[in-house]
Amino acid sequence: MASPRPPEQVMRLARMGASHQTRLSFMRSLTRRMARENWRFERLRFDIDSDGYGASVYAAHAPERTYCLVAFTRDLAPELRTDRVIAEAWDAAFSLFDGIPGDDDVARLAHGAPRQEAGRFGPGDLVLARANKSLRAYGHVVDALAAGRRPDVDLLAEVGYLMRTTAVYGSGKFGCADREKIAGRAEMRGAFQVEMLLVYLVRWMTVDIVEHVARRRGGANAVPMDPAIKRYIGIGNSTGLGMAPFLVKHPILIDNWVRARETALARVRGLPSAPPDRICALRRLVKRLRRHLEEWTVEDARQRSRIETLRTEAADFESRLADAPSDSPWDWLYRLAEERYSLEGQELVVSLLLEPHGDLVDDLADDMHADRTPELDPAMTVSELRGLIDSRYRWALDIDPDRAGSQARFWYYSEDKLEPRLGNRETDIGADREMPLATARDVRALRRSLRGRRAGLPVAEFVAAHPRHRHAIRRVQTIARHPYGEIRDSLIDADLRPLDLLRFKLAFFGASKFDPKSDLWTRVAMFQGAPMPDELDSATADDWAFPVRPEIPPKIPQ
Amino acid sequence: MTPAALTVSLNEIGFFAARAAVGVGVPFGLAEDFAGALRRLPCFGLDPAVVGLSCLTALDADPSLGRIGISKRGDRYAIRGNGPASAVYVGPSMIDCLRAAPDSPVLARSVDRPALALGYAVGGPPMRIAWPGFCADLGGDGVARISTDAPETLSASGPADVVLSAPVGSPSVPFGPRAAEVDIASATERSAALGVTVDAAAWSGLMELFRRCLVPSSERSRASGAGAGLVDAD
Repeated sequence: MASPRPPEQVMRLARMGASHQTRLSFMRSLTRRMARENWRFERLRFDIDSDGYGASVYAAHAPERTYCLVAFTRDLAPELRTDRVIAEAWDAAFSLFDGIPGDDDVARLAHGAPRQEAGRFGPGDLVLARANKSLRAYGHVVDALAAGRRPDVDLLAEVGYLMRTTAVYGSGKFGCADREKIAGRAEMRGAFQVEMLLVYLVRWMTVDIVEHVARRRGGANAVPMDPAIKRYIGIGNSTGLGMAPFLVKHPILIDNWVRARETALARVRGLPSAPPDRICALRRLVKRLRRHLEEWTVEDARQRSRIETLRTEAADFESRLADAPSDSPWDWLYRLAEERYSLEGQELVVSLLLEPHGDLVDDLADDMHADRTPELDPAMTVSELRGLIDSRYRWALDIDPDRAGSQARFWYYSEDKLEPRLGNRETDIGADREMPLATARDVRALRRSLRGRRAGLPVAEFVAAHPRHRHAIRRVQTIARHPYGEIRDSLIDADLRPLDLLRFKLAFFGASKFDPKSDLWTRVAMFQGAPMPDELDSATADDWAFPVRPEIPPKIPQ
Repeated sequence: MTPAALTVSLNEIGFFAARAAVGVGVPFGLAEDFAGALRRLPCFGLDPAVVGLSCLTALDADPSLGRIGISKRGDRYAIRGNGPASAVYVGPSMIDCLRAAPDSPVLARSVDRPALALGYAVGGPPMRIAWPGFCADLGGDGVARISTDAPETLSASGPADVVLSAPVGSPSVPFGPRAAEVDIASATERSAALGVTVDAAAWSGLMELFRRCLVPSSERSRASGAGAGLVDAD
């Protein structure tokens, strides 16, 4: 096996912000599992009126358990529609229920789910979420189907979804079930599987409801949606700053995510040769990728420029496939990318290289979770701790704290529904309540405090006298064992681009079509191209990376 | 009417308690440990909100409870403050000392809420933890064997001297009629499956302290938040 790329290379914000989904992403591992285990899906309840409003329940039957999406849709005044955390109302609200909900459960959730953070939930509720419509796409699809027409694929390509989720809360939020409740279940072993399942079912619901509304409006004229178009419709997501604290708070988990991806890449690069079927699969995929890149359009100037570069690089990559040597061809292809392409191009090639090698890397997806939390090692000596900092945190020690802008920002929770925000230390109030995300600064302060201490002093005694450093000590010790768990850039620098953090996490989820709306906010498509529940099988479950506009016959089949 | 009790998740206990501790000036690393200790108290039928609020309000009223010193005489660690010492500060240090030197007993003088120390102990290595009227062996088998004079007042007991030591070879705790065995893993699973019932007033008190970590919103901060200014009715 080749050596994995080192954390110093991988865990830089610029590269993290160039991440792409891979076959280890959580949506991908979920669809693989559902197909492999022959999950069954059924609509259990559909109390939806002709405008698409009401309650519905969609069940996913895993081998040993059933999970149900309990959904509530409502009319929403346009002025209330905002994707921000501070919103108070949404087009749709959801719970993923553990089992099959009874009428009492649905009635309870009908009261609580639309209130979201203001509601209280119980251990039977696994995930809480909400979504807003893309009015353009939703309205257009209903109108078209009701009139017996096929929806405009160009418009769908531009938007990518009918609704977008604006928050998906799991792991015990607002009284919902703790992660510990489901962590031991085989189907929930990977990361964020329960949240991804909710999102997958929401996507199904959005398609189901637009077809229902179209039937009610169009009567005999109405037509169902073409399966290829259904498949092309993903579920959107709007994401802001909430993901950043998560990435810092869970170093062991993040280490496991990145380690899995880097181990997968190393395994592929280490292959001595490339059988013809693998090369064919890669060629097919690159062709699809090039179409995908042509169809990935955004308003954001920086991302637009990056996509243009990607298009050039993808063409170059395709043209050079034939040049790959017979000896260690995959390593040659990766090195080609590293030498010639942008960071986005390099990370895209990582995704491409993993794609034809499911048999070699898919087992790694099962290790992308963490059942341990960071622990302090009190027996370590001060001398050993100093050594760790000097060797593992050189990047932090090298930051000049006196450089203008090096500590310009601070992260905080706002009183407004705990919305995470990023403040300016010079001009905004609240720096005294900042979140503990300034790892580089805190490690530097720790290193200063360790100066002159007795080399053999146990950490237990040092930290008792200096409790303010407990957090940083635990982090340094944890990162020594989990080196991919640390972002090797300051998160309080004036030049920080939070979007890099969001993209990193969303790519691990499996999102595509990143559509930044600012440096703090992005929209993405999820499950676009994935098989719908009624077509999920081993042939379709895993072949939906880089979704492209469907090619369908000119007339809707009668 | 406000209910007397409510059910919360372990995650909520962890999130809000850590920040409530920060709200009274506890450094974040200790606050994380405090929250972890509270999450384990339901295993013993103790209300984490009641114990947590009691610890934090005491610290809030007298921050000097957090000033502790640590010394080692012979093979024994001693931890003490200038009078009663906060369990929020003492608890992690006690476990640290035992981890650093598993064969060295640890004595903590005048711990204000010993019940919280039990939460820290569960997260530590196998040990015996004892204070007057209470003794527990936390074995490597994941079972806590407890004996107490007054389980009903355990939450409020203290200040008391707390001793940690390596577990003895056999469960020689003087188990009497008030003894109990707790399988920690099963008890934690139960908390995760059913949630944790806490005193509503105490939870509300913790939330008050938590809110000290929040930054007041202003038009300016609202306008600079993620997603601000975007038209979502697209």
